[in-house]
Amino acid sequence: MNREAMAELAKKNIDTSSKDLSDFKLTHLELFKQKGFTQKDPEAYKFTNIASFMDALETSPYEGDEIRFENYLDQNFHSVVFIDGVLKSPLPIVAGLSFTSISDAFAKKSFSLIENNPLSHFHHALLGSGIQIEIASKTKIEKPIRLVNIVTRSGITAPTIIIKAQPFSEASILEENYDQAIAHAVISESYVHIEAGAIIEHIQLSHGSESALMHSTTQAYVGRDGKYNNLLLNLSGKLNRRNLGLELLDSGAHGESYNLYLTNKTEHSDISTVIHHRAADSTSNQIAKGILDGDSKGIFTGKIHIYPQAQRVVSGQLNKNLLLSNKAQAHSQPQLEIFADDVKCSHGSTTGQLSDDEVFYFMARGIPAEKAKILLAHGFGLEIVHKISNKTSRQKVENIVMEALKTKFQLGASK
Amino acid sequence: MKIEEKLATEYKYGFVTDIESEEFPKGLSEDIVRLISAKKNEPEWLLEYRLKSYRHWLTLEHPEWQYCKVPPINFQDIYFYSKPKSKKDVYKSLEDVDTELLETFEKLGIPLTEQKRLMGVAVDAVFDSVSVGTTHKEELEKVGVIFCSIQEAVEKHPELVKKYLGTIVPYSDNYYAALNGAVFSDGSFVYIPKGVKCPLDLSTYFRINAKESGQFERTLVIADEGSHVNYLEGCTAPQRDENQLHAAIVELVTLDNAEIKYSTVQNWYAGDKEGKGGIYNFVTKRGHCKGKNSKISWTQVEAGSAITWKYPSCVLIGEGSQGAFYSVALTNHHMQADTGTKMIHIGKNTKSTIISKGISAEKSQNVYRGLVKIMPSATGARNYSQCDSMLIGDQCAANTFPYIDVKNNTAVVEHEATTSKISADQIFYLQSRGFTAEKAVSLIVNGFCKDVFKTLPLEFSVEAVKLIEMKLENSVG
Repeated sequence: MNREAMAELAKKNIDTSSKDLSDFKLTHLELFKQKGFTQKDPEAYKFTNIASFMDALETSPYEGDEIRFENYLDQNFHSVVFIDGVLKSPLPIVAGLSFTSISDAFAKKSFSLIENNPLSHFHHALLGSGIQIEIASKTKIEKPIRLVNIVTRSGITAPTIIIKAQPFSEASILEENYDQAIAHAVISESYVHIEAGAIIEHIQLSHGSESALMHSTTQAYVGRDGKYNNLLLNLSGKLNRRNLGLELLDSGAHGESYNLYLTNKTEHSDISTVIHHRAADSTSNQIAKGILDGDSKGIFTGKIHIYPQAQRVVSGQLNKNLLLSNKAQAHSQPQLEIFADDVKCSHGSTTGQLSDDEVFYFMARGIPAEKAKILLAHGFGLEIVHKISNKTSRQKVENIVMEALKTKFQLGASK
Repeated sequence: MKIEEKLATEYKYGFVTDIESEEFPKGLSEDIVRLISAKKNEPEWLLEYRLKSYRHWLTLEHPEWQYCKVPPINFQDIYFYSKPKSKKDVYKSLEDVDTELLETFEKLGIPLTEQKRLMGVAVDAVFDSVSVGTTHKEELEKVGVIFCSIQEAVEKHPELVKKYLGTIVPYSDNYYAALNGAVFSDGSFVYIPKGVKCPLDLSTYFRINAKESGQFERTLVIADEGSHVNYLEGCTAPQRDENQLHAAIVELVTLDNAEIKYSTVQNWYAGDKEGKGGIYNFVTKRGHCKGKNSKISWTQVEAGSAITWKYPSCVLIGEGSQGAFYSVALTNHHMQADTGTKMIHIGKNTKSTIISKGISAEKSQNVYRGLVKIMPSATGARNYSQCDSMLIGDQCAANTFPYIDVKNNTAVVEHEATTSKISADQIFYLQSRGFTAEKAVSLIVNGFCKDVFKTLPLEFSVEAVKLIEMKLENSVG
């Protein structure tokens, strides 16, 4: 699907029920037509050529059984199920939790979007699907909220998720993406606003089929003493390009970013995060881990920017890659930009294979090498999952990740 | 605690030698390139090389990706060739060199005359565009070591120069490599024959003196099988209000089991407190470890230049070859530095080590940018990188941009970076034991840089410690 076809698709999608919205979409459609996939920073998409991925996207009709949203409900969660970007399940009714459709929220001007990636204009031109979630102040939502998107039609969906956490609220949100093994692209944008003292856990799980493209951008703003815990998990899919922008706006704001990417065959995973420490006494922590096999590529770019006024910032970053084949490639680009002097910042990066010493340790204790390798690789990946603080979310994600680890890599089998 | 402006240290080497110089007209054109070549009696192939570089340079645009603000440079306003005027066209021996020049180098602490020579170090002194003299030549000739200016090497050993010149850093490499390829003037040429451990440390001292000129030297060091050499490089320039360009190329080659240790103490004039003047130091330095088990190490102490922009690199081709990069980059006032290294692993079991220490003070900006690339052929490659930054004052910046590309699963690559400031506890500890705050800071900074300083040859190590102390004198707050 080339640029013209994408523009055509966006054009079809514009209805005239709301003039403001259709005007907004038309403006961005024009901008997309003009600018295409251009990007301000030439290095940001150095390893991922969006245009060539989009060009290679072929569309084919879905011929399987009809998908029923009921199959995707889970009683341990407040589930919201979308099929091809359209909300299908009834919205959960919970005290302190309110949902608004994107078109209504747009009409109320309750959010603003930003353009910071080569697909921003295209996404805005398709604006409509998705949901706005608001958590009332001083409310703790006990059950985690689960947003499931299932794609059955080939083409492009462009969901928008807005999360508004009012002061001193707390919630855990799990985003899941599945598809019926068809070629498609999900171009999503999420905006998270965390007011003073609010705590949000946000898990974004991409579990696409062989020909699925995923491009997601998450932009989070954290206020005074607020906490944001973001997990980007790329478990499968032809392309997973995930952007995270984290703005720590006030003192005491704390951000965490944990990433796990599992790639095999020709899969391509590219995670790019930027953490802006704009205020004094803000803190952040980041761990990104990748297990790479086959001909796959894993890219991690993590920037930490500390502004001059942001004194006493403590920030740590770690990237670890485990290469299982001699054709897999890992690219790691940790970046520190520091303009304040009283800070403690560190980053580390390692790339290698399972250590012989560690395998030997297991063997000396009677565990065969094959089993030892499986245990070590699973332990390597699960460290990220264990960063999820909500127990229900953690258990669910752990099951999914364990399954992916087992089926994806022939660990232990001698190569 | 605030000890600002306690002492006003000035740039020690900021004086100008009042010597008439012979300059070509300002600006750059094919004619100038031909003139430079003719002046040096160069063979046809070298002129061709210069012209190819020049034509390629014309097609290039100034790069924009660097993390430093480079004001537009007017290449038509620079003297590309400047030579101290003398009765002789070429300095055949030190007796031909004018006394003013010898005095200049003496003032810089580099005595060239027979009786005052440094023990154990052979020096090639380069003044603007020409080499004024090389010491200890006879002693080196005895063991077959060739140490002379590039111009002399082109005359006497054309086969060696032709074989290696431009093979490590081709003119098409980057903007300033192309410029240098077109207009390069003197630099040093070193050839260490098979199995020879060079009996002396070799050293080149660069001095820019002429106004509105640029220095574009070229250095080529070849270490044949089983040889070993220590090479040192130092540089200074007078204090001037306008910026001057220094765009050099250094090429190193090591064959089987050979080793080159290349050390630089860079102290070009860095501009005044307001950031006026200073040298733009845009240098391409690269070494090829061609032979098995060969080694190249770069050690640099970057304390000068208004803008430093260079990445001394190692391409590890031979099986078991090793590359190392040790760097201390200190910036103060309005200095900018975007420096680091590239380690390209191609051969099996290649190893590289990177240790980089950045110190930024006042309004300066210090960037570490480094690439570690493990190619699919580099089975068993190993890299360890560590880059630490220290900030002194709240208006400076320290940035780290490592790029790590691994394409072989047997490689082990590690990278670590930290940024911090000197803690009040550490200073208090030293103060309570009778050190002044300033002395305490200098002690802590020197300790921070120890890993790098200890890899320097003794004379340089002492100089480096003093240089860092001197530079920091005003910036402690």
